[in-house]
Amino acid sequence: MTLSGHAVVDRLSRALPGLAADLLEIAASIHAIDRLVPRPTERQRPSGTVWTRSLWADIPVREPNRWRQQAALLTQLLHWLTDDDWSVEFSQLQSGAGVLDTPQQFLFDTVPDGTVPVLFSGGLDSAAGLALELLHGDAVGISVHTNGLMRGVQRRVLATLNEASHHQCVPLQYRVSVHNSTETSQRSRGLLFLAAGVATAWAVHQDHLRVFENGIGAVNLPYLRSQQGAQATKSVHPLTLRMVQDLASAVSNRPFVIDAPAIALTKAELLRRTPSTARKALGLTVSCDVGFAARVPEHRACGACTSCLLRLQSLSAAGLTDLLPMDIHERRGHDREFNLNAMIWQVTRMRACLDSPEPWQRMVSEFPELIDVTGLTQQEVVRLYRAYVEEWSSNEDVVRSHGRARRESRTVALCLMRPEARPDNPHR
Amino acid sequence: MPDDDKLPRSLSRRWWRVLKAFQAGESQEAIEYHVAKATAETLRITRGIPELPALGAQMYLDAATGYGADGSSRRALPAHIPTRLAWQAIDVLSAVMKERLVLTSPDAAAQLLARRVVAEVAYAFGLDRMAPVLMSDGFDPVELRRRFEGIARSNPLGELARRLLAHPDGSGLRAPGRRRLKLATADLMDVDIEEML
Repeated sequence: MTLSGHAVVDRLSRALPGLAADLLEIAASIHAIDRLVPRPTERQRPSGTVWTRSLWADIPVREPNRWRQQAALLTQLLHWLTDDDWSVEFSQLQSGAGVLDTPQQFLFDTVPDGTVPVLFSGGLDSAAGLALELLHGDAVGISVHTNGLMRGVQRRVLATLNEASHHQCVPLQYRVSVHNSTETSQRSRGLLFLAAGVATAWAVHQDHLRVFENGIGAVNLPYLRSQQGAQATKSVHPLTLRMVQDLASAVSNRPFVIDAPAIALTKAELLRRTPSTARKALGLTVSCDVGFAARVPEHRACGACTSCLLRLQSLSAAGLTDLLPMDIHERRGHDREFNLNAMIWQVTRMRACLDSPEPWQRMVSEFPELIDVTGLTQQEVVRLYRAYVEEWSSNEDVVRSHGRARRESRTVALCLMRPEARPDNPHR
Repeated sequence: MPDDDKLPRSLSRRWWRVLKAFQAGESQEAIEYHVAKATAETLRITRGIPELPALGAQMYLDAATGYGADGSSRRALPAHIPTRLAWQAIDVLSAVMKERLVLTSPDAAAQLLARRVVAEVAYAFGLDRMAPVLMSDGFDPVELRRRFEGIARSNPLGELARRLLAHPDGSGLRAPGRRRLKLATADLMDVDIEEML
C-alpha cells in the first residue's frame, strides 16, 4: 500500500499533527486490508449469510493508548460500514517512522485561519457543494485519489470552480494506492475519505468538516430487499458521519463536528441551488461506479450502474439536460434495465407508503433501514422522499430512453459485423 | 461518491418456479402456494431462526416495560440473513405498533413477528429479486406491488409462520398443501377444467 500526504503537507506548509497522521494511517491500513482480502462468494459462505469476513489488524500508531481506548468505537464503525467482524490492535510506532511523518520544519501558514475544510471526491454532489461554499468564502477541498485519472478529474473540477468564483479553494490531495488488490467492494473507502477530511481539518486548526452529499444518496436505502447491510453502501450515511464524528471527538478529547448541509435535499434539489457559473465544473465530474477505474476504455461512464442512473435522473430533474452524458461505455454484465427497474421498483414502494395516511410509519415498515437515520426529523425524511418520488414521476422516461439510440445503433453495428470480428467473440 | 451497490438477483430452483408462475399468468392463489413452498425451502436450507419464539416474547416484554426502544442503530446485526430480518422486524414492530404490542401476549407477539419474518424472507430471497425481471416482462410495478402484498398477507404464508414457530430451526418445516374443495358432481359441471388444475 502507498499512502502519500506530501502534496498536502507541502501545500499547507504545515506538518500533520500526530493524531491526524495516526487517523489517516489507520484508515489507509484498514482500506488496504479491505481491498486485499476477498469476500466469500455466495457458494463459499454458509447458506443464507451475508458477505462477512473476520479481519484482524495490528496498526502501528504514534499514540497507541489513545487509540486503544477508542478501539470499540472504531470496530463498531467498521462493522457498520463493511459488514465485517474487525479486531483492531495498536502498537507503538517508532518516532519519525510513519509514512506521513515529515522532518521538514515550516515557518509560515499558507492557509488563512477560518478557511472551511470541505471533502471533495470529484463527484457531482461534492462539486456542487464546493460551488455553494465558494459563494461565501474560501475553502480547502480535501480529496483522496487512488490513480492518476481520479487525481486529474479532481484537479480539473477544482480549477474550473476556482476560475468561476471570486473565492478560492485550496486543493489538498492525498494519494492512496493498494497494489495487487483483489476485492472490489471496498466498503471502507468512506472511512478513508472522512479520515482524510478530519485529519486535514485538524491540521488547519479546525474542529469541523463539511461533507456535501444529497440525502437520497447518503441514506442509500436498498433498492431491493435482497440487498443486505453494506451491499447498499453507507460511505456517507448520516450514521456513518455521526460515528466518525464521535470517534474524532473521543480520540482528540474535544468536540468535532461533521456537517452535511445537503442531507435533507435530493440530488436534483442540490443541483438547482448550485450557481450557474459552476455548470462547466459540474460537467467535468464523475459519478459512475467504474468511472475512475483504469480498466475502462477511455474512462467513459457506463450509463448502467445505479450511480449513473441517479446522475441522469437528477440532471434531468434539475433542468441541466445539457450536462447529460452522451458518451457512455456499456459493459457486458452490467444490466441497465435490471438496475433501472430496481430503482423504479423502490420508487413504487415509496410512493405507496407516502400516499398513505401515516407516511412515516409506512416508510419505516417498508424500509426498516430508516430507523438508523440520524440528524433528520421524520418530517424531513418524508419530505425528502416525496420530492425524490416526484422527480422520478416526471423524469423516468428521460432516464429510460437516454442513450437508447446509441445503444441500438451499437447493436445494429454488432449485427452487421462478421462474427469473427465482434468484440465479444472469444476467438477474435 | 460512487456507490457500487450490489443487487443480489440469483434465484433458487423453487423461486425460479414462482417467477415462471408469474410469467405463465397462473392465478394469484396458485402463486401464493408456490411462494409458501419456496419460502419454506429457504427457511429449511438456511436453518430457520432458532431463537424466534424467544425473540417474540422478548419483543413483547420490551414493549410492555419500555426497555429496548432505542432501535438497532449501533447494534451489530448478525450475518445470518433470516435472523437479521427478524431483528429488523422487531425494530419496525417496536417503532410503529408499540401500543398494540403491549395489548397482546408473548405468544401473540411471537406470532406477529413470525408473520412479518416469513414475508420478509419471501421478499429477500425471492419476490424482490424477480420484480425487476417481471417489470421487463411488462408487469406494471404498481400492480406487481399489490400482488406481492397480497401474497405476504395470504393464508399459506400465515400458516407457514405458525409452523415456523413450531419448527424455528427450519428442520421439518413444510409449506401448507394446496386445499381443493370437494365439489358435488352437479357443481362440477359448471367448473372449467383449467380452474381445477
